[in-house]
Amino acid sequence: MSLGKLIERLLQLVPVLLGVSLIVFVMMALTPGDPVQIMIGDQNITPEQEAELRRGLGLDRPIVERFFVFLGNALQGDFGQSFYHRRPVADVISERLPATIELSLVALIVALVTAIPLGVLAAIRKNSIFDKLATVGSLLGVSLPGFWFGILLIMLFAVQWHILPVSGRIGYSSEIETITGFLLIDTLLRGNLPAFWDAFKHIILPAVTLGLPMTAILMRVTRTSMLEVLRQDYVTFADAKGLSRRRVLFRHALKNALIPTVSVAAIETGSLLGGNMIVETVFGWPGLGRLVVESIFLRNYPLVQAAVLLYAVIYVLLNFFADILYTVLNPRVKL
Amino acid sequence: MSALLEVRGLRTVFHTRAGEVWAVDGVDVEVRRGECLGIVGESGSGKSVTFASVMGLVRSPGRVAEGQILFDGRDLRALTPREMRAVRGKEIAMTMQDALTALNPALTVAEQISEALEAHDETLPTRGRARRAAIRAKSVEMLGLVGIPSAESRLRQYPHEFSGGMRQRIMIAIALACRPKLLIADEPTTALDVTIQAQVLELITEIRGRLGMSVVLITHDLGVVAEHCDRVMVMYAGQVVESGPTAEVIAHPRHPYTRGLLASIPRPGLRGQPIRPIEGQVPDLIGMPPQCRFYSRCPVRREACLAPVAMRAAGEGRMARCILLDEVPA
Repeated sequence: MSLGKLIERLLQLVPVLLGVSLIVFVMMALTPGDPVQIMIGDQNITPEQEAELRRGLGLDRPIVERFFVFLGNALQGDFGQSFYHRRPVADVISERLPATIELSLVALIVALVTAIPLGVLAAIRKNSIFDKLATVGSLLGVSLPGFWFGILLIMLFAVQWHILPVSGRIGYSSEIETITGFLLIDTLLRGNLPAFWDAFKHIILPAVTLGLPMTAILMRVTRTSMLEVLRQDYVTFADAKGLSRRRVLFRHALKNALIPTVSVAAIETGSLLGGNMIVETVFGWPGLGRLVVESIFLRNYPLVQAAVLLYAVIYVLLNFFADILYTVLNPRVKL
Repeated sequence: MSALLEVRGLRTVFHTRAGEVWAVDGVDVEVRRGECLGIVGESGSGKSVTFASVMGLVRSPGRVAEGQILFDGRDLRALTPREMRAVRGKEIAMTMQDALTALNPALTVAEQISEALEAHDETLPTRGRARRAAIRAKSVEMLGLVGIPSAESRLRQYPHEFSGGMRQRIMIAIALACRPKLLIADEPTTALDVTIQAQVLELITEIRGRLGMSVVLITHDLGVVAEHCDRVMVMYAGQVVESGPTAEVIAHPRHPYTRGLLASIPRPGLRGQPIRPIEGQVPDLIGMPPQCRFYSRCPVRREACLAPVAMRAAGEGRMARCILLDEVPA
C-alpha cells in the first residue's frame, strides 16, 4: 500500500471522529440526570457551593460552548478531568485499557481457534450429525445474551464446581507489579508461574463469554465460504494433481476460504468492545467497559466522551486493518 | 500393442432430487499408447464425467457404479484412495476448461507447479536446498516447454497476472510436470480466443510427440478433432454412439447423430447452403427408457429403435450404435 493511501485512510478518521463526538456530546447532554446532583448526593451544601462546583466543572456554560471547548481541548490531547476521579480522563482510561485489550484479544483467539476448525469440519462433513449440531450450536451462540451466559458459567464453574474464580482479573495473593499491563504477559515476564496460572484461570470465563457470539458467527462464515471454495475448479484441479487431501483442504481450499472469515473477524473485533461492557460488568473485570458503564451512571461526561471517541478510533482502525489483511490474503486485490 | 487405458462398461450415476441420472451409461473407451483420442459430444453427453470417473474425481452426489477401468494393466477402481492419488497427476494428468478458475488465485505459479513435483517426482533430491533448487529448475523447464518467456521471474507471479492463453499454458505445464503417460485435456480451447486456440492445440500435439504420451481431447468442436486426433469417439446422452479413425468417421459417418453433427458445421466448400441444425433437444436422462437415445431426434427412426440398441461393428476399427447398420452394408 502506498503512503498516499495510508494518509487518505487516516484522514477519513477526521469526519468520523467529529460526528461521533458531536453525537455523544448531545446524547449525554440530553440524558436526564445532573452530574453535580449525583456528586452531592445527600450531603448538605449551600447553593453557593453547588454553583461553585458547577462552575469548576465548566457545567455553567451553554452546551454549544461546552462542545467547542471540549473539541478544542481534545485536539490538544486534553480530554478533561474525570468528574468522579478528579484526575485527567486520559490517565484513568489508560489504566483500564490494558485489561480490556487483554480480554478482547484472548476472546478473539478463543473465537478463531474454535471457529475455524469447527467451520471447516462442518463444511467437509456437510449434512452430517456434526454439521447439524454445529448449526444449532452457532444459532445458540449468537442468540444467548452475554449477561445470561456469563452468569450461567459463573454458577457452574465457580459456584457449583469451584474450578474457576467468580470474578476479577487476578487473586490478591498473586498481584504483581505490572510492566505491559497485560497480566498474562507480565506474570510470565516476572517469571511468576503461579500468578500466570491464576490470571489465566480468571480470564477463561469472561473470554469465553465475550468470544461466544463471535465464535458462532465466524464458524458460519468459515463453513459457508469453505463449501463455496470446495466447489471451485481449482480444488478439483488440485485433486487431479494427486495432492494429499490435507494439502488440498488446507493449502488450496482453506487459504481462499479464510478471506471472508478474516475480514469478518477483523470487523467483529470492534463489536467485542460493545460486548466488553456487559461481560466486564458481569465478571467484575477492571477494564474500560466497566468503567464506561459506571461513568454513564455517574454522568461522568468527560470520561464517557473520551472513551466513546477511543472506541470509534479503534473501530475505524480495525476496519482499516481488515482491508490490509484482505489484500494480504487475496493477491488479486490491491489497495 | 496393448491399450494404455481400457474402460469397459462404465456406468456413473448422480443421485439428484428428481431421481437417478445415469450420466455415463455403459461406456467403453480404449486409448492406445501415443495416440490422440478425440471425444466429441454436446454438453451433458457424459464426456467429461467419463474421464472424471477414470481419474476418480466424481464427487458426491455422483458415484461410479459399474465398470472396469484398466490403466497400464491395473484396475483403477480397485485402488485405495492413497494409491489412486499416486496415479493422479503422475500417470494420468488432466487440464480443465478454464485455466482462470482451475488455477488457485491465492497461490503463486511456482507453488502450483512445484506441489505436483513434490507429490510425485521421485528423482528429486530428498531434502534441503538441493531439493528446492531441483524443483525450481524443473518448474522453469516446464514453463519453458509450454512457451512462457522469462519463466524464472514469472514463477513468482499469481495466475491473475497472466493473459488467458498464458494461463492455459501454465495449466498444461502443471499437468505435464510429472511426465504423465496420459493427458486428459477437457475442452482445452473453449475458453480461449480463436488465435490462441490454435496455438494451445499445436502445443499439446507437439508435446505429445516429444514426451510420447497419449492424449484424450474432450471437445465439442469436430474441427479440432479432425485436425489433431487419430481416432474419435462420439458421445450422446451418456453413451458412445460412434467410434473409429477420425478421417473415416468424418468422411463416412455411420450414426445419424454423427451425420447431424457434421451437417451442422458451416463449411467453406458448401457456401450458400443452409446450415442444418439437429432438430429437438437432448433427452432428459431421468427415467430414460431403454431405447435408442437419439430416437426422439433421429430423422431415420423406426419402430425397432424402441428396443435397446447395442454397439456394433461398422467397418475396419469402427463401431456405431445404430440398427440401420444391420440393413445397409458398409
